[in-house]
Amino acid sequence: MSNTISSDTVFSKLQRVQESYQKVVRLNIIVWALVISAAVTVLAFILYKANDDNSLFFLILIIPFVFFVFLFLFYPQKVYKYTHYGLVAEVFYVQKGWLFKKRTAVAQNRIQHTDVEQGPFLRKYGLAQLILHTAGVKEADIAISGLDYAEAIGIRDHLLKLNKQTKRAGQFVANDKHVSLAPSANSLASTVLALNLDKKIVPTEEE
Amino acid sequence: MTSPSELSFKKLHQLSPVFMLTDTIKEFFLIIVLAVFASTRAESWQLWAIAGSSFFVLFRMVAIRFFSYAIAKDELIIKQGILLKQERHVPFERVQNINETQGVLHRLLKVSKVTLESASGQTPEAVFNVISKEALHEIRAAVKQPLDNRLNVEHFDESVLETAHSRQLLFLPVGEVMKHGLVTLQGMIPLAIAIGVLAQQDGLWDRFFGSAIRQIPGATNINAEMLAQAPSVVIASLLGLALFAILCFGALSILYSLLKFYNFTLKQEGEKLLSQRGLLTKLSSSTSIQRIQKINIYQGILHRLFKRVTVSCKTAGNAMATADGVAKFDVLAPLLDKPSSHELLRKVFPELNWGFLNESDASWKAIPYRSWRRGVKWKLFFFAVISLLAAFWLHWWALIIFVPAVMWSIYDAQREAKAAAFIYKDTYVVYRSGWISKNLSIVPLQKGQAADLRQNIFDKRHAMAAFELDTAGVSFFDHGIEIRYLEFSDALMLQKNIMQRTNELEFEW
Repeated sequence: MSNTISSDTVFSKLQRVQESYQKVVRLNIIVWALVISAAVTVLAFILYKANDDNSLFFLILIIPFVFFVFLFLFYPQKVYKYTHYGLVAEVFYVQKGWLFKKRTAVAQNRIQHTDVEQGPFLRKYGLAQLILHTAGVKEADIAISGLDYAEAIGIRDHLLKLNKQTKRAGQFVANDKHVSLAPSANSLASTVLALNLDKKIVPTEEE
Repeated sequence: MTSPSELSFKKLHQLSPVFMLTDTIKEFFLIIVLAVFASTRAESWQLWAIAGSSFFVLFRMVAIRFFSYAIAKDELIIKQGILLKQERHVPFERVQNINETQGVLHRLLKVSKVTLESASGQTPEAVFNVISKEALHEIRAAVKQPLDNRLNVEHFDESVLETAHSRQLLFLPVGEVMKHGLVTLQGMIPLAIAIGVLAQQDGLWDRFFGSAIRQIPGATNINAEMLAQAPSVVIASLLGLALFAILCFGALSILYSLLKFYNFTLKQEGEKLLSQRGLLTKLSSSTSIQRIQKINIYQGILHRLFKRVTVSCKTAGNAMATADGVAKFDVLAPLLDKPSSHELLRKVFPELNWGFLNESDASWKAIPYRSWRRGVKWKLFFFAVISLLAAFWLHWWALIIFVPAVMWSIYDAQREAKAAAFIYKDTYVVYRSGWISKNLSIVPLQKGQAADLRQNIFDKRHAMAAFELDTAGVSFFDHGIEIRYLEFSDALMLQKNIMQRTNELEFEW
């Protein structure tokens, strides 16, 4: 039996994110590169002025340049290759990481509510980020980016359906309280579904 | 349903602004002390800090006069805000706990600070600072009614009604509270802050301590020359200083524990746990047993000296509820002997099989012993850095400290590997770790949330992985079900089985 989490039976049922997500990652790297480079340039200029106009300080710009070139060339591929997700036996899995792999699992009945978000770059390629919210602390928000938008909505709806179907004798029924479309801080449009699990004690209903 | 406009809204007690002032001063105490005492020179930032704090205090004192509440048929309606008006409706059935805080001044004036907590969320639903005893009884009566109604629904176990009377589970005598102070040494914290502030004040430090310390040889300026000339005197002086410091810490810690845990009482009322404690400020808090997400049993090195343990818990919804001076329910037993702690847990959680509290119970599954070779590397790295720094700053012979450090690291890593073990059962998972300080965490699977399986390149080489189970109400530094260096198959089994089981079990806050 293999001893890695990229070769067990659960992993074989997971799928990768969309290939076009690599383009989104590259665009994000470019944005961050511009921001960081601007900050480093300002720092280099301050040091240049403070040290008798010693232009050697501008050499520190090489550091972010090399870093971001390296990132641009290799990181998006790694993200695409090593990001997986899927719903297996009513448990949602998200697996990420290349050298430091992490697989997060959450049972569907532990999902408090879900968000589907689209930033401008994700929107450009018809992709979305699915965020599952739990009652936990360390894994309060489990996010997977790079899904096809329709698929993200489909997963969200499927999880909602599973939650509605979760009935135990004399225990609880989940009610979805509202669906609203509201812009969020980092996306142009987002769909938020709140599952408000009121603790109504009702007998089991026949469907 | 009665509309808000038809209800009679009540204000808080007329002395509320005074209590708001004292609370705000307490919250900003450190900033005020730093602003006033941190430097001998008057600096503009200090004046701004004082001005800002004063405005903030005044604003809060005025805002509290705009707080009003009304008790409707099924809910509590709260109105507050000066510019931004807020109206909050809190259904009684959502209120899980009513916590009451009474300091010396509160008791003299017969008022209380009261918070209402719901099943979820990290901030209280309502904070009443302050109300009279009569108003508190009114709110308790209104909230209690829906709770009584819930006892009538068919799924409740009849035995809940039989145990509806209150029973005392634990009372901590003064001697135990004092032992708690010696065991936890929490008095070091305020002492360290005081020393830090005093050290900023050049004249103050010297006036209080400088001349006294200068009388002690070696206390202020130890060096190799002095040590060579009069080693016994220097060492004796330093030991004397150390002993004095320990006695101070001990006394302060005892005082701190007495202030915090004096008359600690734990009671059970049906499915609720209630605790009361405090010397000057009396704190009462409660929680439903069902809201307990994780139980922890801790035994530090000083606990073992007194043959005691501390039993604590994490409850849902108030992980951050340390604001407003409200007691959060997180301690089941500040200090207790082991057999009594086991008995307490059996009484509070009779449905769990507590056989595993016996360390040699067959249910325990140890983590692989070879994991000590993984753990030792970080310790060796740490000591290597310390030795190199010491050699750089003092003398090359300081490198010699690396030899005993290596021996200690190997021994420590091996003992840690032997001590770590876990239990997985259908209804709970347990993890214990540590051999100097022992920690044991229990999570009922009904409270389990997401589960992580982690494997880095080093884990892969050793066919290992790490497993972590998340719950509500914990903080990042808590001991929990976070198990490193597991056999890969065990980590995989834990994630798969626990997820399957949590999917079958309903999650209730």
